[in-house]
Amino acid sequence: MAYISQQFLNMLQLGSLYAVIALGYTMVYGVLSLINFAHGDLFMVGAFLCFVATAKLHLPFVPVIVVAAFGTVLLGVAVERLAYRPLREAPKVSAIITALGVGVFIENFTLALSPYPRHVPEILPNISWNFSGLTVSSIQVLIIVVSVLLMASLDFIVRKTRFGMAMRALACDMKTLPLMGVPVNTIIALTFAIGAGFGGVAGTMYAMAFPVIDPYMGIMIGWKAFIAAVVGGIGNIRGAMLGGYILGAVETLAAVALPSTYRDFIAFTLLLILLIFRPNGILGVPKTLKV
Amino acid sequence: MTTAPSAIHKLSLFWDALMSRRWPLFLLVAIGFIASILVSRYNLIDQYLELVAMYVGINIILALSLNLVNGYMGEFSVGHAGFMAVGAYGASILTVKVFAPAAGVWIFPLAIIAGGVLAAVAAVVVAIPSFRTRGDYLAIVTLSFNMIVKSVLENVDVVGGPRGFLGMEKLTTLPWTFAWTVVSVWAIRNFVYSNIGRGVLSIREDEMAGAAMGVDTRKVKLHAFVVSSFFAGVAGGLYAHLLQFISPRTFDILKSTEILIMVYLGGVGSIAGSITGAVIYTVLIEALRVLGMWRMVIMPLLLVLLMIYRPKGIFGFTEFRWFKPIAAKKGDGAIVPYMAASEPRRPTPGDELLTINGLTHYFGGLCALSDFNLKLDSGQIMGIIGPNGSGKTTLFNLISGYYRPSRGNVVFNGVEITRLRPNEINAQGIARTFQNIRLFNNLTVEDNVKVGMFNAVNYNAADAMVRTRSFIKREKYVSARVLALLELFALDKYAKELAKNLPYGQKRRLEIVRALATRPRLLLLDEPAAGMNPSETGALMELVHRIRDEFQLTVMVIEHHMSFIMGLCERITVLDFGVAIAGGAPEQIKDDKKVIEAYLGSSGSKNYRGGQ
Repeated sequence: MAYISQQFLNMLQLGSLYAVIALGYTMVYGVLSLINFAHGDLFMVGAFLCFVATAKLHLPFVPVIVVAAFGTVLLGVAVERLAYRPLREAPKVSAIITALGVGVFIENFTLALSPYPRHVPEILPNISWNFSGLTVSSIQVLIIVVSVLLMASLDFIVRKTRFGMAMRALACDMKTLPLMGVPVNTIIALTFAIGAGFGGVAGTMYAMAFPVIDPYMGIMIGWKAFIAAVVGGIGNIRGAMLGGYILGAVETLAAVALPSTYRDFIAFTLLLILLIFRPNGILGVPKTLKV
Repeated sequence: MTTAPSAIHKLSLFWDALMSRRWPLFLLVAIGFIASILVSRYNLIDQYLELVAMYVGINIILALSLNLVNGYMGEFSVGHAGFMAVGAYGASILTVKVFAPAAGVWIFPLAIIAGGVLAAVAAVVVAIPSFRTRGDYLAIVTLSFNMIVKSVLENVDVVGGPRGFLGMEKLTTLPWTFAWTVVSVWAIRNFVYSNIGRGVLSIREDEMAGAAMGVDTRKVKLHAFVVSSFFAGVAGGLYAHLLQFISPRTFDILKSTEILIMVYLGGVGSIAGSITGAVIYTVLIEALRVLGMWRMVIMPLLLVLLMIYRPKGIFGFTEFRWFKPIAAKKGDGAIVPYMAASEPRRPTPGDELLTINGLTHYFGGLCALSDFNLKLDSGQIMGIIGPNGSGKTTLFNLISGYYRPSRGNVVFNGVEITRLRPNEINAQGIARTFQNIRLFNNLTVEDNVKVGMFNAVNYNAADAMVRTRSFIKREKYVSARVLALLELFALDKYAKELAKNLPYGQKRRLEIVRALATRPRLLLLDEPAAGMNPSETGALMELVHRIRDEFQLTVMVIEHHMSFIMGLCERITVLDFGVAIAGGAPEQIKDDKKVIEAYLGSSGSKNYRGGQ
């Protein structure tokens, strides 16, 4: 029983991280139909900012989170402004390849600055509680609680606020929206800002839980989160959350049954199978064919 | 008043003469091959330079291979390193594990081919999803493929798992690299300039229009992916036996990104572009070695800047003349006059050609077409009219296979075609045009029509790649026939022009000619007179009459121009809100109360119907 609960907790922790990162992919896809391949690298930058803020600046927890989130927001908005905006009217291929290029650029840039893996010092004392065999650490609780709070607030913003309404409208029709007086560029920049900020916070939390970080860490985590977004139905915010937890569950189960080296294999095979049989994900709506 | 031609002029003439012939190219290749043998045998150049030259060759193969899928077909594969990995590991297992090292030199060419074949088999995994999805989703599929390959290799201990695979002899030499590069250029170039190559281009330009012209898009995609992956696998095998060490990390996303950069730097949809891109990139990356790690920062930045400022690359859809096929001159070979009447399989006029029973289609909850019935005799010209949104185009899309009907069936010439795919329906003898013209804009007028002859070709991809006699014979026939068709419709003077540059009226005409090239028995015209003035409309009316008679066609036409419909059609069906409300001869329709009501609203009607 304790074993099952322990795995369930692991699943929640992993799933929360995936879900928060997946939101960044899905929001950008929702408004621009662009797969922001650089998003996983924003997560990595978040983790590195966390390292700089703790190991070099010796900041306490709350400023660390603020530095990481603010830094990734700036980077996310800059990437949109400099790389994606000039290509908004260009064919899809150009945008996708640009996104890939931006991702590799951020990775290699970080690598050039910091060629070795880094160890992030402890920011918050890690307390473990024991409930009749079930070990719960404070970091696990932090990850799950912060993630749920972030997701709930995003869900509220998208569904209930003026900005959220503009975002949903933008997803439907980018050409008409400016005619209704909505500043499209601002909305897109804000969308990138939120997504990037989420990535940054996720990076910080990840670095607290798994303190060894390297510039390529964002590739695999980013891809997993992306799979989560596709599983849930890319462009669909609640889908991304659902997908995150599903992927967390699948990977946790896979780790129980198979050697851990098969984790990536299983995640990507799941994605391939899903794309063949249900390309629009669990909550996604199929696009109608126009002749 | 004659001035002596200047030296520059002479030189340009000489250049022109050189470029327009094939033998200088063959000579160059022969010299290159001999030089490569001499260089490697007598160590004529620095070892490092020789290594760079071999990298250039391997990268040319990789760039060409990716260009076929991304540039020519317009799909995007972003995980090409996955195929390379399959080829590299496949070939290495053969030379290291299966055969004794002593046999290496003899088994090497076979191992390379085997690696290519393995990669080609793996390509099926990517090609099948591409039948249904394209764009971003296909990008995801190919990237996942790349990741899966890497992940599998990391878990196979026989080939070293994550530690990598050692033990290959250095079998890749300069002559081998040169030979494989030439073979790749030759085969891919021949593939592109063939019937299946035109199918590939039609998918890039407009997949749906291609299918309507009879292009079996699944077959074409499968072919393109298989050919592309084969050569990626070949490059992988060469690479493994050059480096003598491979690991799963050698073939990760960064490698795929490198190949992308070469393709987009040199130019999409161009053989010359891929060669240029591979050469520039390889040399640049070697020259920048002094920068150390920062070199890897400049590389992706270059890609981003390229995408923003010159997404087509240096060559971008243009081609070096040596790689283009030599144009057939007029009167070359046997020009077959377009003998429409001699077409086989013509049903006799008066037979029932098309039968539609209870055809119904829903979009979500909206009934776009409800219980539609029709019997159409061979040789008739029939009009479909009705207000906007009444289901006319839906009817065409159902007949031509774009939509699967919710209920009902369509029988054409005794064959049930309800569940067939658009290209199969076209092969049965139904061709169509589109409401908003859908030509292959970046192809020439001639090639547009040639795509329409996709199913008139009986050679296969292998014939095309090695240019067999049957290929040459058939291509001559296709060219001659297309020229004859273009002449018949006074479009021959535009034959070499890109379709997008034609004036509007000629575009409409070309769309009809392209449809006729598929040798249809039933032609569906969707608003052919849209945007035409009265005199153009009159000319079009004459044209439709003429093709009906000369090509022994049956025609269904959707149009809003009443004078056009009334003057042209022998029968008319009126649709309103997806329901056929009237049918009969033009005179009957003109006075039908329900029809007048549908167009003008009934007196005292409270409903405003126009906006629905």
